Amino acid sequence: MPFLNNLFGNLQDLISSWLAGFLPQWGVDLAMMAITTVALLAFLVVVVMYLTYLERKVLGRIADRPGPNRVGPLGLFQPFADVLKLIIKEATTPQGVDYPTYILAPILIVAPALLVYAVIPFGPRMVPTDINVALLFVVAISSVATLALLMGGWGSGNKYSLLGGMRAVAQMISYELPLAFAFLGVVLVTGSLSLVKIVEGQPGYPLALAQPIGFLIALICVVAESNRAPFDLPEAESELVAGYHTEYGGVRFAMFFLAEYIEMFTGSAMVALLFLGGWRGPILPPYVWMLIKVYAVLFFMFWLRGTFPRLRVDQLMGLSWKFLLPLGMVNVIVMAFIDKLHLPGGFLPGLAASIVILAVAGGVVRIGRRSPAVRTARPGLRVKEA
Amino acid sequence: MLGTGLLKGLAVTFRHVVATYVKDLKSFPRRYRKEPVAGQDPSLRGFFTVQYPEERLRMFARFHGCLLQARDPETGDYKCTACRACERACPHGVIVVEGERNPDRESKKKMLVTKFTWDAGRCLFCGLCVEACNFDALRWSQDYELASYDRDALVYDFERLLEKRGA
Repeated sequence: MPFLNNLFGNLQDLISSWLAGFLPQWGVDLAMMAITTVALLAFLVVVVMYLTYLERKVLGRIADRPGPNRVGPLGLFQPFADVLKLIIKEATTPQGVDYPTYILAPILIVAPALLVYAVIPFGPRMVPTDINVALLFVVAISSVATLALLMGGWGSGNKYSLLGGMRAVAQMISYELPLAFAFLGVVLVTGSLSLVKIVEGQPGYPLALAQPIGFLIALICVVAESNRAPFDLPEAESELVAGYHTEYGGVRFAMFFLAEYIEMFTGSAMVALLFLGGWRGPILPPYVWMLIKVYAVLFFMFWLRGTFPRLRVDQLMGLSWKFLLPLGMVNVIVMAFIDKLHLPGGFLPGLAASIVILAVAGGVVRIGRRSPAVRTARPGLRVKEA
Repeated sequence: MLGTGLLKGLAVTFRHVVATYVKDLKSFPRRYRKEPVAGQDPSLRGFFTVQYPEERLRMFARFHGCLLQARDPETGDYKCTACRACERACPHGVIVVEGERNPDRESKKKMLVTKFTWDAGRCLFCGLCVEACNFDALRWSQDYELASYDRDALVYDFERLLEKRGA
């Protein structure tokens, strides 16, 4: 078991000691970097391919269907067929596009999505670089994707694409704030921005128990950040054709697709690392625990997509600015107090405080709906009389 | 309470996911049944879809599938007497019947069918031929897989329409 627990660390030692036999130190370092990067990229591409398969299977079963089951046993070769189709398809360029922006957008959206994996750990020694501002790095780099979405929308020279791009920007900026507040609660407890130290600094229980509000906000925001249903307004097919990627086809479309699924995986990994204890868990090797937790969050995302209809734009903005953001702020303040008071009972004080906060928030929302100002402004609103 | 509707929705979809796996387990080692399946009742849980080439729907009794020349259950001989009632009843003339007198004078069967063709490609499936048959010889079968790559294959002769022995 100890060997399995540190499988990838041992592999790393093995390869580097073998390389050291005929390469100078800087050569070994360079080669190890290249090997890590290639392995990570290959892993991510396979993950994305099978995420699409998994998503279709889960959505199928939600709708009482078996999902893809024609290509290969259990439909397991379906992702290969999909990828092949996207690769051999002709990438057409419509007239009237702003060519540099149009052609750069698919590249610029994949780059930050991949870049984030430089700091995301899958186990104690399974992180390319453990920098001390990893959390900040992830939040900063993943917001660069917003620019690429707007570039795609603008460069296409199509009104639907532009609207999709604008929506993407509004949505991603709105949901980054509550997400940051949710992360802040964890940083308060663990006292570091390094993702490795955050996992190691967590108490023996998953932080989702001590900070359920932060956990919920992070879950919602991660779904919204990756533009997934029910927050898929930037690509709402009933309103905007396909949003910012309307004019992209073939490999260029595949890049947008790849980025979306990588972002989903990133978001799930962040939630798993910060709120579910990362790779920590009994018996199984750490990287297995990490993947179990990440896929649990991913399943939740598919589940949401199979359950809820798409939000309206004003509902989307309202949820973030009027509900999640204030809730996140209150949560951070209360969690800071609880952390400083060193109360006994593990996660219980945090859990109790969170329930109180949620109850108060529910009451505030109810009172807000009952106020005459809201009634006159939105006459169609159904108000339950108490 | 705030958000209970969301949780209720999640519970509904999760029940559907679980129900499909329960159905999978029940049908364990083999996923698909060879014999035709009844279409799923909407009130039942689990998969709703029928995986067509592996599974087939069982058709209802009145279904108009392929025409069928019935056999006498006792003798095993075909019931058709070449009376041509079906040919006359057919509004499109897709049935052509020819018969001859049975040389065996002792036999109960007075007429033998020498030719019976049915052009499924032009058939309305109206069933007037089946109604016209005085000997219960012509019936509808439940077989609905009549597609073919060749137009000529849509013209069925007597042998192809004759009820399978022991069926």
